[in-house]
Amino acid sequence: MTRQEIIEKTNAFLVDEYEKDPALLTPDARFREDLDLNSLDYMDLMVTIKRVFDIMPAPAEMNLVVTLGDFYDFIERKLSEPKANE
Amino acid sequence: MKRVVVTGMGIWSCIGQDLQTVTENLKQGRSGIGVRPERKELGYHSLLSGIVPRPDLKPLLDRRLRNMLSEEAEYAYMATREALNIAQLDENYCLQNAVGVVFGNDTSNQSVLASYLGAVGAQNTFMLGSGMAFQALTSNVAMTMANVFHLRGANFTTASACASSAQAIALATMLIQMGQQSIVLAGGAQETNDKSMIAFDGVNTLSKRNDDPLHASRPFCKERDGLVPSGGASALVLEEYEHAVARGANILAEVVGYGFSQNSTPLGQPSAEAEYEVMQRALKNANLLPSNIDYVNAHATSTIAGDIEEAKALTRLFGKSQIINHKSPMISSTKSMTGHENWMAGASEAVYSILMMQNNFVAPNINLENVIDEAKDLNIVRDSIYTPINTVLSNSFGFGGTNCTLILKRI
Repeated sequence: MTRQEIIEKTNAFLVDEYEKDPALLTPDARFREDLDLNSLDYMDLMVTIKRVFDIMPAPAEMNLVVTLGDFYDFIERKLSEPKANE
Repeated sequence: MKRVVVTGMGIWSCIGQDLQTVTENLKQGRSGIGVRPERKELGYHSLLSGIVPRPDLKPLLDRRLRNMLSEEAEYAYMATREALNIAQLDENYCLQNAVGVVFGNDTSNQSVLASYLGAVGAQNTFMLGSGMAFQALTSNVAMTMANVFHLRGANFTTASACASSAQAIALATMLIQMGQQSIVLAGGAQETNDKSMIAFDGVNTLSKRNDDPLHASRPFCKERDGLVPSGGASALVLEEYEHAVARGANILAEVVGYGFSQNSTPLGQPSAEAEYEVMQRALKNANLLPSNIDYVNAHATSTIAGDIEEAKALTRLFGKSQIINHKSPMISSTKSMTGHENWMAGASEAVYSILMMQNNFVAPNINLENVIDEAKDLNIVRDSIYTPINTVLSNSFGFGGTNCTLILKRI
């Protein structure tokens, strides 16, 4: 999956499911302060990440995500890692 | 003792999702019962249910709040919205004053089961998301109504099977009488999904008249064969009388009495003795005599044993001499139209009773063809009667033998 595809898929679920204003979805937008995502939303994000990208992140990994740009990086990195059963 | 009045109410039920529609359907004796054919594959013997639409909350609530609501809390949200609107309690008022909330609810089966199956299926509890931890609690309704509508006072959940929301109204009334609260939202909510009442099908309490849903719920009728599960939510704004007058609220009715009793019979078996006692206690609490009651909204659920015991208790309470002299109150079970709304029933039947008082009619006990012998001396209303009624006694008898009676009065 290309970075552009990651960005498009991420922005799509943030708008459709998390009801975020598309204008706020810039790489430097902070998850907590600018996008108003709290710790419970992070648990929902884990479910969404599994469904959209087939990745099972750990909560501790998610806590390192501060901005939307960090999130794109995180997904890109996770997708490039070999899966445990591969 | 402080007086407690109703200044708002709302409902989301199988006979209507607003007060006007519900009033019309009560007058016309229309049933809200239908068939859920998919239950056959699940092993149900009864396919009957009150047909309650799920509200579309997306235009009304943001994702985070919607995520916290169980099915029954979705219904409660709609009922509460209507009740607070009628009571003219806006967001600003609630933020600045400590409004209480007491809701009756005794299960959240769908949420509990979805949590378990979701986690086991994914082999990872993190795949449940954030909402299930809230939705799976029976206190979900009270907590989410408080959260959504900023109800910052006392917050209780009452759970006593089919007496749950009658108890909610009684407890809310007590909180106001004691001076703890000036306003309390009291209500009841009931899930209607195929997990909600499956165990009741398993103990053979549900009607199996699957080919005739409109005539399946038939309280006090010899040909009855069980209750029809139903649900939704209803909510009432209870308020201290002087407080309501001072802020110019529209007063819909007064809660003048309540009573409680517990059966000493084996679990699941109704008791005419305890039902007589609970009505006596409510009358004593209201300082009224049986002859003061104009209308009884019976608990009568259309079960074989339950209707017989209530008929015995009513006949004993109102006395044969009164009945012969035509002083017996009019009696009907609105469950003949709604089915048994279970945890919601005490609150919804309070709403139905107030609608009857407001609109000068008594709703019928439909589907009553051949009255049971035990009820032959009772004045059971088979067709709507258009007449003023001022004082109503409403019964709610829980499956576990917990009974609660409310008395409401026109004001």
